Amino acid sequence: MLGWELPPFHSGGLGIACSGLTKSLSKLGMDIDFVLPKIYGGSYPWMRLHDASSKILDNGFSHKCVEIARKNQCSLVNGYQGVNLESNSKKMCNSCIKVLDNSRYAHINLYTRGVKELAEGLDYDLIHAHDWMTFPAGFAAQAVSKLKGKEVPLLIQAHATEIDRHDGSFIYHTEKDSFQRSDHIVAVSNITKSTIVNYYGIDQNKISVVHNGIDPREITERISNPIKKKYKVVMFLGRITYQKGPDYFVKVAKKVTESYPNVKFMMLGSGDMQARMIEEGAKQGLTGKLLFNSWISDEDKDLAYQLADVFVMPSVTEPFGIVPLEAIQNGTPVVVSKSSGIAEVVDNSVKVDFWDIEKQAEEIVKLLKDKKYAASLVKGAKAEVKGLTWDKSAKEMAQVYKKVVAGGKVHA
Amino acid sequence: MPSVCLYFHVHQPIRVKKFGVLDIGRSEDYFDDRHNKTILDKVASKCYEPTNRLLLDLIKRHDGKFKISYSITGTFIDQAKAWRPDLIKSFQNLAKTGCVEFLGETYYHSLTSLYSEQEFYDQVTKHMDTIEELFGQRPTVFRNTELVYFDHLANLISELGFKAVLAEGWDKVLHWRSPNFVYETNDQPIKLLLKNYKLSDDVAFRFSNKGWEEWPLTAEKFAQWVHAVNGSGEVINLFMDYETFGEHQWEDTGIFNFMDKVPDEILKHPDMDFITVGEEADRYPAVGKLSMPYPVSWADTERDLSAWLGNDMQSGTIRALYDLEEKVKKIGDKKMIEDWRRLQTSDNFYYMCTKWFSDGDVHKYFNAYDRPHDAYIYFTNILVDFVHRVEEKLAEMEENFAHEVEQQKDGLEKVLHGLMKPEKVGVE
Repeated sequence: MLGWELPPFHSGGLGIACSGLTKSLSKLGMDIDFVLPKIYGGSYPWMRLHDASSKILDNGFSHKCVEIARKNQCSLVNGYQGVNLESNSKKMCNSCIKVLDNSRYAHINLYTRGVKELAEGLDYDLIHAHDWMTFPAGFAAQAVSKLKGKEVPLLIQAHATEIDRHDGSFIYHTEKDSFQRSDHIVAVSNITKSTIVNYYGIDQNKISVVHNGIDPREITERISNPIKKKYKVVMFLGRITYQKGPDYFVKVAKKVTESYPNVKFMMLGSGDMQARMIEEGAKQGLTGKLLFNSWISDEDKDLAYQLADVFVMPSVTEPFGIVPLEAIQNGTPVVVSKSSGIAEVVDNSVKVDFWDIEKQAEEIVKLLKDKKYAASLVKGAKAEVKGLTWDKSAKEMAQVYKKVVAGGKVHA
Repeated sequence: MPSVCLYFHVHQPIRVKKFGVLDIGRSEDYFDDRHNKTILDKVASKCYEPTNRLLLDLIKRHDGKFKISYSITGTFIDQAKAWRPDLIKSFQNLAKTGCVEFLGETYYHSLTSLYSEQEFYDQVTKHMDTIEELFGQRPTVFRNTELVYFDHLANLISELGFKAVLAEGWDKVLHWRSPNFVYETNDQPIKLLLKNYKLSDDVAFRFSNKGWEEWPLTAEKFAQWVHAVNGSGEVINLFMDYETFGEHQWEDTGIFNFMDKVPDEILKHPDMDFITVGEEADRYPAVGKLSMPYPVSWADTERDLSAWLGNDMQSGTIRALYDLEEKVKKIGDKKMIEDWRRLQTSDNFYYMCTKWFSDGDVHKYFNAYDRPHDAYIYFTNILVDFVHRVEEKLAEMEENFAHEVEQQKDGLEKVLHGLMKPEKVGVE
């Protein structure tokens, strides 16, 4: 299995999904070799972990680009851009310069190279690659086994697509090419499946949907805060970027607080649109009504969910969306964008169009005012979320594996 | 015979904590003591200690001929008292020479003159009392925060007994007039002392600028420029932040050596002397009235209020803060009033400044946070917590009041009942 990150060293939902899924797959008897670009630590006893960067070093490819790859965590979007190349002692060969200076995607190339080296020493029946960064490596691993005389199917899973992110056309083309050439595709939601069909021109029969799960948590007590005596709280949590619809949240805050002054809106997270949202809030007279926090620890995240009376996710696109599930686990009702994977699996949520400010404001106010309604929504949602286990996802995934690999017993 | 007036502004804000949204309702601790103490220590060793030493030495060396004036903010004094009483002592030693005058200002380095007259009186009075207690002299010359001056300010301070006030000698106000004379405020018989910003900024801003055609600035050269005023002016007001010495202009720029020589060089001219702000007001008659209907400050190329109130984040927070005055004062809780006043410190709003154009570099250097937006986030979170505290306290007071009324009513009823009894007996 080819992945990019695992908790606790993760930046988003991808790492959590990979960890949850593999753990439950292993319970079904799956034998998993998992390759990361770099291992930072952590314990994952249900699978064998491999470090792509260490492998490329072992093979005597001792160049500057490799050392940089070993030392620095790269950003998904910018690769190693911004890493100080001067401070490095290793020599710069032409290929280093090409890899590091000219390519935004050096990290992808290096990962692919490492996976290729690793694949030669491993035996596997299926390759399962998560998101575009690992797709080229998936094909490399497939080529390695073909050289050894074994046809191994490649299954690629889309946790998000470039249509959701808008980072660059190179990524779109990598995805499109990979979707076309792979043996099968797994999407994390129907909405992502339809994105792949509509925007990448892929045959829908080649795509299975396996929704993500969430680790069960039993949170019965909500920690109270003295300000709740007077104020209601509406919460947004996520990267503050176009995809997540933060500007709609600000508009809703304006709309709601106009008629209900004792409501605080809090926008938690950082991102390229945060400064603009802060300024827009101040301009709209929302100082003291729309609050921000750029960073939040996991424990504080629970406190924040519990502080909130309503959680809102107005995403423009959201392949799955794990945060509303966490909010529900903490006992907070959720208002979610119709264009999110989560809307497919939690019926006890208020589903809205991300652009419909009137409707969102109306639904939020209804939840704030009608405690009974809010409580019944939470009760139902909690029961639904309990059913969204990784074991369930893993069982569905195993069915997909069976379809792809004759026999069904899989070493991924 | 022109006089040179050297005036220094000594200030450290009490910076707020990185107060998270989840601290609201859970912490009443708004100020970052550790960070503030670290900065005070740093600036003390770079600026306050060596500069006080140098100036004390200069005063002694010149036998009464070298004089200086200070304004020291209450927020500096509070922090120095708590962590560095030696600094207070050091300023007291300077005061004892008799060659040092202290000015009055708003205790919390606030912009309250623009928002609340009552609060303005309270803060200025508190500052005057503190200065008198520490340095044995009651200020008679006023400087407003960031040298903000407007005509009506003279009306405000006249009731507090000030005889002069400082302002920026800004070309757009002066037109053909020179800052090197004493003027009078538009509405009151109060003198207006104008900063000669060209000569002041040669030291405060340009001293270490190697791209400046006059670099390096020597004491001889500077004294020549000062001497050149002779015949075309009566006063040369050199007003600057005290932190110019060692903190804005680091020691290795030669600023201390420069300052060490400046008095000698200036006094080489037999017609020149050093005076304090009060002496200037006493000695020189006003050559005319000067009106500034709108606030003029000493900051940035605009000389206006845009560094503190130029964007929505700034105006939104400051308005919300001053809106609380009536409630905070009605409650009368000491800690609450103190918190409210510390939040008024103009630096809090300066940190939210987003006009990164010609003055961006200066703003960035003096920002306690990474981005103006962070300053806004923390300040707003604090504000929300503070408003909540105020409202809770008010609700509690109202409840107590209602309870008292209830009790009094009970008592009254008993009395009435007692009064009515004999009547009843009478009827029977």
